[in-house]
Amino acid sequence: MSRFQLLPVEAPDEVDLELAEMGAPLHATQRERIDAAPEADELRASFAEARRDFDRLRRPLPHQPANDVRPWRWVAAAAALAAAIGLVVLARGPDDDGVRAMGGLPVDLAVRHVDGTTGTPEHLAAGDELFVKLVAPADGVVEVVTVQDDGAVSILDPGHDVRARERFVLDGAARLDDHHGREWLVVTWVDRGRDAVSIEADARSLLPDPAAHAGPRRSVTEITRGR
Amino acid sequence: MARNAIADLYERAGHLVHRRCVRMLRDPEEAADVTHWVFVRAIEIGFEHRSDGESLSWLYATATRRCLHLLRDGGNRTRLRAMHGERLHPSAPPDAEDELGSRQELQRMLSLVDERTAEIALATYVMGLSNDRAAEMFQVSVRTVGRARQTFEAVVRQSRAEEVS
Repeated sequence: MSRFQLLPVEAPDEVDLELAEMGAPLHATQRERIDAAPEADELRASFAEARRDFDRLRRPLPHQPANDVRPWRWVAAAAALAAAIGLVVLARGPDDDGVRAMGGLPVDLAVRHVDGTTGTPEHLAAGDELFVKLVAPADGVVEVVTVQDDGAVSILDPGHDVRARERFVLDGAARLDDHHGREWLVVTWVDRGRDAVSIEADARSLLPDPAAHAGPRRSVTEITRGR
Repeated sequence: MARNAIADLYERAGHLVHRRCVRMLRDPEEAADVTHWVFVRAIEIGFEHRSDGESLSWLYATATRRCLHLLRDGGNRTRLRAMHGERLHPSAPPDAEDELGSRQELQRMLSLVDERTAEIALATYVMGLSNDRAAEMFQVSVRTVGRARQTFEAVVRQSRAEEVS
């Protein structure tokens, strides 16, 4: 339920409003959209009523749970850790570069065209805005760049820490310039953050065909205008 | 997760969990008991708070399972019978609402399917969550949620047909 940061094609739902009610951190633009949702006033009134009801009925939390299972949790955690270490030792080969086994990096892209309509990135033009979202496959860092056929790299997000299953949304949008050659949007998920020089060098190394390098830790989408 | 962090979550989200539980149980006091139970459970297992979204997902999933347990508990059947005629939450899809009709009927239908299907039915038809949200909550695919709903709807239709015949 981490989707409180919305793509332009998504409408805020009740859970988005609940997360806002909780005080979850929101981008300013996302908060504006949630505030403008048609049912926002009605739901806020419902939340206020729920708080009044709950304040009347709620019971205090105990200072110490009666059935504290934490000692057993440590035993289980130690056993799990030992098993995990064993698996890692068995699984890591000499050439292991840290890539985790995943079925693919599922990145959602949405476009807001210059005329205000929204859609998918099949047909793009200068001035269009790209919105990027993905669900992190595991704890790590998400990098978002664009790379042009002339080797120019733009870093849109140099590294955003994400937790497993957390939804990452690129803050703001990537506005397309009037570059006439080919260009690709590359979203890379890595174990640890890298500096800008490494990110740019990595992006350039994908040329001349970045799409050939798409895989479980990298999504590549061609964003060439006027295709 | 430290108790203080759970207490903070209780302050910020307790009323939201309670509100969802009221939808499922139609009893504010029992819903408050479930809400309290969920947060105590979070302390007991040392629930780790990562983000508000993930915490809310865990709280709702745990609350749904607890409510399902209560709904399926034979000791509540008398109380549920007294609710006969009560409608489902307005956010439930029209077909499900028409088919299920009452909480007593819902309780009976929930007893006809496996636990996972029952959880998903409760989350989507009664709590009013979308398939996408339910999938995230129970950490299954959206397709699994869709199949569970189809299964549940088929059970409802079959049960209705048997009643008519």
